[in-house]
Amino acid sequence: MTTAATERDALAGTVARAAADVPGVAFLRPGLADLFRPSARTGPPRAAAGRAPAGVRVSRASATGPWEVDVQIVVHRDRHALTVARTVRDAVTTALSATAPGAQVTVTVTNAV
Amino acid sequence: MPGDDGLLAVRAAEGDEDAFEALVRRHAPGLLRLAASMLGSPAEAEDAVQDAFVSAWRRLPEFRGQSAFATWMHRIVVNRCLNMLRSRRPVTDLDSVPEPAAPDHSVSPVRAAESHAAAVALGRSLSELSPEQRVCWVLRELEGQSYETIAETVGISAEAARGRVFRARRCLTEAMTAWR
Amino acid sequence: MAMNSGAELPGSGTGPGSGGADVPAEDERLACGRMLSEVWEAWEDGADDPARDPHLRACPHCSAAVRQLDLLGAAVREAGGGREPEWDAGALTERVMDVVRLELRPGRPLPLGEREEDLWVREAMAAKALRAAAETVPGVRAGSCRIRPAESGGSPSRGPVRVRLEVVVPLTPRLRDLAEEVRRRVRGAADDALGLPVDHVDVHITDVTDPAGADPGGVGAEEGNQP
Repeated sequence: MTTAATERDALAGTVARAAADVPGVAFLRPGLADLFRPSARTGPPRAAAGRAPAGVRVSRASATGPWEVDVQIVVHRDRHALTVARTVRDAVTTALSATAPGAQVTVTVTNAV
Repeated sequence: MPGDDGLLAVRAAEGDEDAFEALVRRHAPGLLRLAASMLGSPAEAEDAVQDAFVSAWRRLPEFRGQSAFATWMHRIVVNRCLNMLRSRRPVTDLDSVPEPAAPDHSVSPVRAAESHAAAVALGRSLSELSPEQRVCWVLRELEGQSYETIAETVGISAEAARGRVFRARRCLTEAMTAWR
Repeated sequence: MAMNSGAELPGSGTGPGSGGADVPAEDERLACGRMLSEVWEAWEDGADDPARDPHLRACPHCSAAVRQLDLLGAAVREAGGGREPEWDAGALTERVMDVVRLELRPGRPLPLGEREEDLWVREAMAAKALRAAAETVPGVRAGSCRIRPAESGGSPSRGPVRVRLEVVVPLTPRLRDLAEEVRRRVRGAADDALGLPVDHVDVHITDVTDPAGADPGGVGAEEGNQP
């Protein structure tokens, strides 16, 4: 694995943890629904170790350009989607302030459960 | 309430999986019964109905409500069963003949044994019908459908549907007569 | 009747007088001269009413043929009677939905919050919230809910959206007021549940249901169309 890829995966891990901890976030999309529904017998395969977590995409246009972070979340039904999305954006921005200052964070609410 | 199906189907077509879940819950029991009588096996019936619903979810965006959701779903299940019957090996596998229910103890032992044997005979001769005969017969005998509806569902002419039901009855009544 | 395709039964040599050259392979001419297929069909159509065809009831051959079908029917009911397992539609529903949730159709991204923000909500989720809001009006059921950018231009647009919602409503002389109430609640939910800036809500009444449960008279698309 290249250094760049390692760095990207590390950033993605940071983003996923910061986003998942925000109140009102049920899980990151796609796919971790099975963790939250013990009744489900089948479900998506868990992300293989070392691969970017579900629901997070990290990229940059050039080696020195700002990081672009895309987070897809599923929120709890009774939560205000915009408020949760803003809190996720702020939490992710803060979490990246040391390692990737100036990162552009996009948050998409894909569903409510 | 079936009038509600149309609304739920529209929602599901627009990506509302909760609406689809309500439709699945509502229609699964009837479709399972239908598939079981066509396939003669509860396990296969569950597979058929599950596949049919998944296929329906995928095709819903093209479902324009030309027919009722129940009719559309019914057709998908029938075709799924037909394909499963066709893909079975043509030789009659006696192990696949469904095990009839335990005798009902409210009737006399002799009577119970008789109806048990009749059910076995029926199950066995059902498995000897061609897939088309079996499906047409189930739709006619158990679902009470018109030959026109059967024809439309199976994709043959009404006359052909009539012929298949007749042949199925011929085959089954002979088996019943032989058993008696 | 075409009877010559598919799996053929052994020739019907069982009945007296069966199988003339003019008889299709699997049909059978009964001793009385009637075709078995005709007798069964007449029985099915309810034509065994003696007033309509006294022969069917009187003829021993025809009634024997009909009795065969009755016996078959009895065996079918017998076999079906106890055999139907307790279908666990719940488990089946879970399995179906597990697959469906891996193949969701979330729809287009719609802008959340202010124009300069980079926050989005998918159409299918937003539509669910708006339908639910419409259904807080007693008796109202929501169907199609389409949400589109109100302004043309950049894709995806950051501008406010236009909502087109179809509803079935209970019969009332004040349809316009009802549509207005639906519109108000949809706007409220766009704000309070989502944070989705809305330019316009079209409420289309596609059907009216009688609260007494009787006749659902379609009234076409009554339109309430103010922003």
